[in-house]
Amino acid sequence: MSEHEEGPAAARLRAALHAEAERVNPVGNGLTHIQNRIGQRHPRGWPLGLRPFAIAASAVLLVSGGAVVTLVALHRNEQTELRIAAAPDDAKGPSSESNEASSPPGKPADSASPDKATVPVYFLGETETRNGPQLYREFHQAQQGSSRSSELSTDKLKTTLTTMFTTEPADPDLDNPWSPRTQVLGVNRAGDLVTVDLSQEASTTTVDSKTAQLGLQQLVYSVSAADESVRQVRVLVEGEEPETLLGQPAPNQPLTRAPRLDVQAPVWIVAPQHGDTVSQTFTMRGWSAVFEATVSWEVVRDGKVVKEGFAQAERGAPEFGAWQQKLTLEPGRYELRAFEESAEDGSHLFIDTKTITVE
Amino acid sequence: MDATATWNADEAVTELYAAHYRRLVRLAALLLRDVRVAEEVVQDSFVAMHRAWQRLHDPNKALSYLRQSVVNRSRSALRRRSVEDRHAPTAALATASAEQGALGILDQQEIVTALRALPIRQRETLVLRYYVGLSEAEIATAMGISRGAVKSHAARGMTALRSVLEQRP
Repeated sequence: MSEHEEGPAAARLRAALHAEAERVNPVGNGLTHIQNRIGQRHPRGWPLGLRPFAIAASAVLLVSGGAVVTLVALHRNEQTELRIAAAPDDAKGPSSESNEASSPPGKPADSASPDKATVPVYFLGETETRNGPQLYREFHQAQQGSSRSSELSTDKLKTTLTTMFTTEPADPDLDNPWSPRTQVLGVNRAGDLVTVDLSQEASTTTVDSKTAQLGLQQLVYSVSAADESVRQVRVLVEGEEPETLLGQPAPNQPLTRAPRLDVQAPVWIVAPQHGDTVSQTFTMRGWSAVFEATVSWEVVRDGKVVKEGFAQAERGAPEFGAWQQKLTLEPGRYELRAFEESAEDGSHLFIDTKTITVE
Repeated sequence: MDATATWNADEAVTELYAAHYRRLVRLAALLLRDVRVAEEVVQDSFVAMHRAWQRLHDPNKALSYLRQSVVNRSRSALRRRSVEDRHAPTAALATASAEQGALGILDQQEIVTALRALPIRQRETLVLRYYVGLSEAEIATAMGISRGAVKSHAARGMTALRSVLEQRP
């Protein structure tokens, strides 16, 4: 590490780090956020006892910046109460869906509460066997506007996007490239083309180009899952065609869904969702595109496989098909695993895992 | 008397913010990948520095404190987030998008991707050395480890990166 070690390799590393760093630009006014948190009238800092307030305040102030504050802050507060939709007992697989080509099964029943909507949201997750992240879908409950009219469609799209930006994935293996400060300024619809107008964070939040591409697919998949008649999505930032989205050059065409196999993880456990509590006998439902439609599954407790088997999906790769497996387990905490077993060496490919509690 | 010696904690935050905020966010972003978390980490560090100003009372010490805080908080954030960047070192090349025409950008992405695949301490050492430009002793302070450990993390990191760094002329 001493200076004389500086060769061409060090110079290349230095250049790459500086180039990468220069792509990063802070968003918004960090100084205001800091000052609000330290409270300029309390120059010695917060008394220890007040720290929780400081932390709570920061969650709100992080998104400060004008009239939208209250709305977004309210929304963020609601996040703490967000509950993941219960396991969809009414999932009947794609054959019962009106648009089976575009939507995995597992759509939960509409929420009983009129102002809550259950919205599909895609997030990014890594599979051990593929390079880079893939899309996985979760269902989240979100506050919905009160509109019951023809505007409902754009309302739902707005709710879906807001939820996508601001909600943490339930499954800790999943990730979200968008800034939680991204706001949905407007949603318009013309035929199968939806135009969404986002705040500047959509442009300035920077991720690598592969993640950015998948982040755009995450957006398209979420919007077109919320409304299956949507085929194209145009993204504006502050009302204009953006030069960048997620820090990378923005596409100059409306976005469409990329082929499922290119962006979606090939094996999913659709239900139960991560963190769910289920009764002793329940059905694990999945969605996969695997060789000969054969999905392997395991139930793991305390690191030991307590049950394992195969399920047959309705269709095999390259198509996606639904599968299900009825399970009866003693009360306790379990990890459900589904994967494709490699025909070559028996290794486990594309593992999806969900931690659940059986009562 | 040096004007900085009379700063109160609020002034220290304002001055150090103007001089170092962006660079610290970039440091955190290199360690973390995620810019929004990077900003939160740096803002947290400034809030902590504000509390510690009575004790620090010196801009150089405060900057050193901020760096240490950013490194530590970035590491915690990475550990908290179970999704760490697990791209294989070859992933960037294989998947470079059509948007990135220039070979230079591809090389750079490949190097950064490989760097992010390194163990956390090796990555920290190399970023502090080659992005921030710290000396061995300063890196040891920022990371809270010995100079010998800095040497060995740096050497192992550079060895691991050798293939991407020396692949092309």
